[in-house]
Amino acid sequence: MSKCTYGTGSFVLTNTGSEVIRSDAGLLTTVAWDLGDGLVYALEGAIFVTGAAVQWLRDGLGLIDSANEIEGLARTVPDSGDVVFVPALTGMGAPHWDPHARGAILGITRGTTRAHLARATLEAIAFEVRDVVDVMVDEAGLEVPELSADGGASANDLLLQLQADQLGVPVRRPKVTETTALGAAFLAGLGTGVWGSTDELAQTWALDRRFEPEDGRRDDGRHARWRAAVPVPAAGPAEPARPGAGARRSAVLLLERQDPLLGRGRGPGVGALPGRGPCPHVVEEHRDVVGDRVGGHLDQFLELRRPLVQELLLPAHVLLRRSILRHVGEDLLAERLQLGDQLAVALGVPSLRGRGAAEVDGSSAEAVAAGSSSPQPARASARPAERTTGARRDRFTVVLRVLWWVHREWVRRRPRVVGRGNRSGVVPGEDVHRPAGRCAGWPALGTFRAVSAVEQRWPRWADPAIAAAVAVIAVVELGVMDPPPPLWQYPLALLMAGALAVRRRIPNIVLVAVLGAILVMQWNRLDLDGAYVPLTLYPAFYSVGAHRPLRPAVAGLVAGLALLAIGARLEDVPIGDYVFIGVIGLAFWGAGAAIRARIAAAVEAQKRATLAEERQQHTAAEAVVAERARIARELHDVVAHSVSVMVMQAGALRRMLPAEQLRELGVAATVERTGREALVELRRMLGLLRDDDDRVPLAPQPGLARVPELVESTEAAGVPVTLRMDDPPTVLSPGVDLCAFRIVQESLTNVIKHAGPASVRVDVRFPAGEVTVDVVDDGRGGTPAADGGHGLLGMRERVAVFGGLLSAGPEPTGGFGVRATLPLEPR
Amino acid sequence: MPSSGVVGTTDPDAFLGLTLPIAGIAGDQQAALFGQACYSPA
Repeated sequence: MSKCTYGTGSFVLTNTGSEVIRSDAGLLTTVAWDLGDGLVYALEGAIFVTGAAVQWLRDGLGLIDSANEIEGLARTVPDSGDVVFVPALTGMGAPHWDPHARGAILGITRGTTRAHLARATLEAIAFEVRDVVDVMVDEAGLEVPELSADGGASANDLLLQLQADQLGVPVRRPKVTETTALGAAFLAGLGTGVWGSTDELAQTWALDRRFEPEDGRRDDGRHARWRAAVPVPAAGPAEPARPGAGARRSAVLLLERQDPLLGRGRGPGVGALPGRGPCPHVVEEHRDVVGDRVGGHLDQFLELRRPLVQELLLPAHVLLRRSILRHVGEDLLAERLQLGDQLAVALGVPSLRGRGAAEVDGSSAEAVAAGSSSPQPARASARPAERTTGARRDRFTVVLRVLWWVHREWVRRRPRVVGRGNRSGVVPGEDVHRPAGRCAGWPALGTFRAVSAVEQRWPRWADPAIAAAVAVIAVVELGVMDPPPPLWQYPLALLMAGALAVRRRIPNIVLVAVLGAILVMQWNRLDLDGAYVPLTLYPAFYSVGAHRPLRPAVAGLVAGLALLAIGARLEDVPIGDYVFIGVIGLAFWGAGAAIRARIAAAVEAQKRATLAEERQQHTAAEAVVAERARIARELHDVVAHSVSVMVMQAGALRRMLPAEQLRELGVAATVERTGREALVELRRMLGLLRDDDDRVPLAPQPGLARVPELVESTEAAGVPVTLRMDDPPTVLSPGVDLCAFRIVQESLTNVIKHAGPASVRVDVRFPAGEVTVDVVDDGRGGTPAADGGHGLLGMRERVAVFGGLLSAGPEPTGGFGVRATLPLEPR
Repeated sequence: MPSSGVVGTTDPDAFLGLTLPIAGIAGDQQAALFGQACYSPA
């Protein structure tokens, strides 16, 4: 059994039972249904343009004012006057499947009227359906003893009569022609026991009218002219058509088939007469002109209605933009902007890019500025983009950040309690991370640490100052010596003192120079009694230990001891004196080396502490970003939901509008389409924002309506809740609704986690233009524990999106309170 | 899955406040074929 639905396009389906019948001639094999006793298959022929051809007569050519007029108009003439209309307005479907085919109107004369065209259009529909049915019968071997018609155009008696004439079998029209809805109802009724079987259903089918073929046979004469213009392709897959090639081919085909049209009575396929028909390119040009006119008209109309479309979509866009700018880390922002651009194009609103790009530039410049001066560039780059008021605010932020950095460096480098005594145990750069007073109780080590601190903080000018002081001592000592020393001992002594000025930079050379000078004095048997000698010799030893890495320091030590030995030999110093001096030198060297190691350890510890601090800050920053991404995800989800509702509404509107209201239909279709495109982009964005371990939420985002559920589960956790929730004065925007819900949710979670034994009061009110959410408990109060911080953080972020206020803290009466105020309308 | 038989119910929040069984599933043309009572091949 077969049916044909006559709509904008037409669809012929034949039940093939349990048999799968495949067609090479362009019919589609489909599952019809499954009533539990096996799949039932059908063969389908889809024709693109049938009713749409009538619409084109109305909108494209203006031949009629409404589609209903066509039957009356077509009946004013007995036939189409041999005019053939090929309504390949959007390519051709079954059984041709040529997307590039173009239509044509053939066989017109001076006597051709719009009535002939109207009738030719109805005939064309009947021809197209016949072609499909013919393929079903001839190629697929099906039986089509009658055809059940439905769909809007099946109300047209003339069309169904023409159809019966073409098929040569009866066409029957049921009383209910909305058979798609009827079929769905039948299936549901079967499923719920309203009807017991298909037999019962078949009895409910009521005939409205039956159209018998005239003369009881097929009208092949008219069909031959159609076949001449539109040959049914041979069985087999249609050859792939190049763009443009199809159109040209159709035109050439038409040209070649002028002959049977013009030479009436002659059969198809008899000698083509090119040159007698309209020149193909003229036909095409004309069609292009018509097409342009229709297209231009539509464009103009859409331009007119664009504000409406924008009005519908702009709020979603604004929310999106806000959410993007506030909640996305800088490194994600660039990607987001690219998507935003596409979205902006889809929504037909100004792009984010102009502004967003400036912000990206500004923020990255800032990151560079902060990075060059701050040791924590990673942190700077993880800082989310919050700048929404342009370059001025950017500059302000840079200044603030530089001030902050200066302050922190000052705190870090400020000299600490160095001179305060042995037990302070504080090394610069080490702060609270280190347990204080670790070395208390061992004064020697305290001293040691103090010395190492002094050495670390040793100012640049200290060595030359000491050198100068020692030089003064040396000169005074030499001056008061009796007998006076030779004059050239002064430069030697001054050399020894002066070498101290560079003892940190070149300690080994200083030691060798000092010992060299002593050697020269010893060689010349000069008097070496004087404080300046130990005052230069031992610091030189110390400096070799303290200011050279271990290996050169040992080399310096060995060289020094060797020089000492040589000097001792020169002067005939008793061996005990030499060993004494050597041991003291060694001790100074050892102290230096130990302090060096100590300083290195301290620097290392400081580095570790800094690193740990950085890591901690970084983790915190990551948590902020993750939290913001979560909020952004939810908001996008809300927007996606709203947009999909919008799309559905637009779709419903489109279906409710009468077919004549083309303009309104156009707008509705545009809204629907742009909405769908926006949805695709939104889903992409959601994918981008989605955590790897995040389950894809299938349920819509919650709102205040689900607060009672929260209260229930909180009470189940042992916390009594007093809920007072007013009814909202208007329908809440989903974003605000979600935000308020989340605040209640987070707050109640915090109460369960941190408040200890407590009861809690939840108040949701709607003062003018606002929603206020108060969650106050009478528990332990105090600040929430570390993990509670994220909850509060998330709440603050959320509230900030909507320009609201959040206060959270211990209550004066004990307990802890969270209070949020959100404007109902965006500010 | 059969085309006929209860597969779920409507969500009253989303559908006019009603909880109705969803008992029929079909594509538009298939539904039309069913609605035309074309239950057998010939």
